Amino acid sequence: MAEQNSSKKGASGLKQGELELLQKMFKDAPVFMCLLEGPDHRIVYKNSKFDEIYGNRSVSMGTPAREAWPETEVEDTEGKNIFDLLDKIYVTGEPYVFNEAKAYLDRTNTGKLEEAFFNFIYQPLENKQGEVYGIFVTGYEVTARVVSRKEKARHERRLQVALEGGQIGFWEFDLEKREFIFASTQFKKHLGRHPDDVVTREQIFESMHPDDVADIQKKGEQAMEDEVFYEAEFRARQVDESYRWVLLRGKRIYDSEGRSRRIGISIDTTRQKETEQRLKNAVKVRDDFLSIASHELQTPITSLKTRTELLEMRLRKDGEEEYAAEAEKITEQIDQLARLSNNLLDISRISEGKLSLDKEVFVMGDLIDETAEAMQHLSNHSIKVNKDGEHKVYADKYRIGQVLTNFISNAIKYSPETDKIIINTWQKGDEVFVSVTDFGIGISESDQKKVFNRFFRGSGNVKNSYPGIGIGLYISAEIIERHNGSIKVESSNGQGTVFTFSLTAANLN
Amino acid sequence: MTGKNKILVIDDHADVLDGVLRILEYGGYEAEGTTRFTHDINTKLKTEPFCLIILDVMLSGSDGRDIARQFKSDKETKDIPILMMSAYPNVEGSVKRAGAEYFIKKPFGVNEMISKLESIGKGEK
Repeated sequence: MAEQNSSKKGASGLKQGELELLQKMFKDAPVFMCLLEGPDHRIVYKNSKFDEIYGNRSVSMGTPAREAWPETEVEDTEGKNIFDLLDKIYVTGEPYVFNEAKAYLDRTNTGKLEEAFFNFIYQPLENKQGEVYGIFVTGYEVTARVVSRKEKARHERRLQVALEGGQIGFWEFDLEKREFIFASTQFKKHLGRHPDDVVTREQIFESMHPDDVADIQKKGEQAMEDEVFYEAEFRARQVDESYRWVLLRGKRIYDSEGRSRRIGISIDTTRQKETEQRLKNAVKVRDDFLSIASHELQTPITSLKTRTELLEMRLRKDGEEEYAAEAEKITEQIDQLARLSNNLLDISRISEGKLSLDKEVFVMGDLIDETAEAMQHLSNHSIKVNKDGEHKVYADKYRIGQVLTNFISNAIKYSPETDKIIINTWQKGDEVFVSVTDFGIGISESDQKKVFNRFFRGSGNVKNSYPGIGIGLYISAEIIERHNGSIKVESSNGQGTVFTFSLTAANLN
Repeated sequence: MTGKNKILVIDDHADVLDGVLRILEYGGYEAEGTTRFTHDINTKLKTEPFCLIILDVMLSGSDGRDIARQFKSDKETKDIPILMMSAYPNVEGSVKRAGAEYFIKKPFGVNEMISKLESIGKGEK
């Protein structure tokens, strides 16, 4: 600072001693101060806070403001240059107050202008004759506060636009007073309310679909206890008396006084619900159709089977072997049709949860013998049964027989080039195991994971020629699952396959 | 099956009924069939020597299990064994509870029905 240049006595009439006193008093004041004198606003005094604004730029006392800080630009100056404004104040003697004025200054003395915000005042000073001799500048910087407020406002605006764009309602609920502290317009709209309405808990229940009230009340009580996250979905009555689905989701928080509140959002889920319902209906229609169609098929199949078998017998009796063989083929296909139709019936039972079990205690080996014998008639494979004891189980004999039949018929189908199928049964701990082994084409590792899936079809051409494979295994898996047993497949391509299931032994009976 | 040797078949599907009758004929059994259970049939059962009733579960307008219960609660018919048939395999339990001694699942083959009748003839269940 070149303060030695200051005049001994300026137009203000301030003496050197008075100026020094001023300097001492306000040198380290938390506000910036500057005294400009004369029509060209020469610098008479400035404190260190003022120097900071301009990066402690070296400016001689007596320098006109226009020359000292020529780059300065300030907004909110009635469209004037800041120096022209000083001129005007000097003439009119009217003070000028800036509130959060945006300014551009070279704060680093590098020629680069920076944005900053200030609260400050230009106060004209008059001498004893009432003439303006100078302007006192004082104020403080508010850049940090303004930037943070603007950032916060931008953030809020962003959130608001996102909520509006997503048609998401917003609410805050006082869990102790049980009343809404805040309810956004969209939230009110979701509840079928006017934007000016006050939302209360009672009103929400009043306009809720009667079928949803009990559930939501219960949920509310549970959530009051200790749950952090809250979720409720219900139908809210709209102005036109229709109902729309509303989903509320919120989180419990505690304010600075330890009071608990819940803040959350609301979404209209009507479309989603309608789609869900349509899907449910479609599944029901499909299952009903499967059930009716497959059951209706049983009657003609029964009749067909009887007729072709009788026909075959008559032809055989009459020595018409060739035709009898044809009739036999027809019967085989009818049996296949009957199995498929039964599978469809089972599928619909499974999906309706109606696959009921009729349990009894029986010897697993006996069922294996019966099933193997029946299957032996249908195949050229030699079916060998190995039993290491009379293992009893408590299960649905018909259903377990179905699983066995499925395993054996798969073994036959999947081993066209070999002629051996082995059935083993053994007990380990309190579990009775049954495995069916073939030495056929095998199942690839990736297919093994999916083989019990509904409607799974093997991925090779050969396999695709066997319809209904997936259905049978899916039903088998369901049957075993209903018995709380286990089912699995082990296989390697070209080496054959082992299907195994286990059931709890009924040794205690 | 001498003395009492006739079989009564009740199934509302005429074609299925006819098929069953033909199996019985093939197996050498004397049989009679009806698509509807009527008062006259009930009287016939009590006056003629029937040794078995073959009864469908799902009859149009009535449940075969109710008819089975009715037979079993009447002292004049309660001793005639009943073989019920259905396409629903899981009705076997309820069929037995209704009093029928035997069950066969539809669709069945000629040999299956004949061997069932043979085992019934031997008193097996």
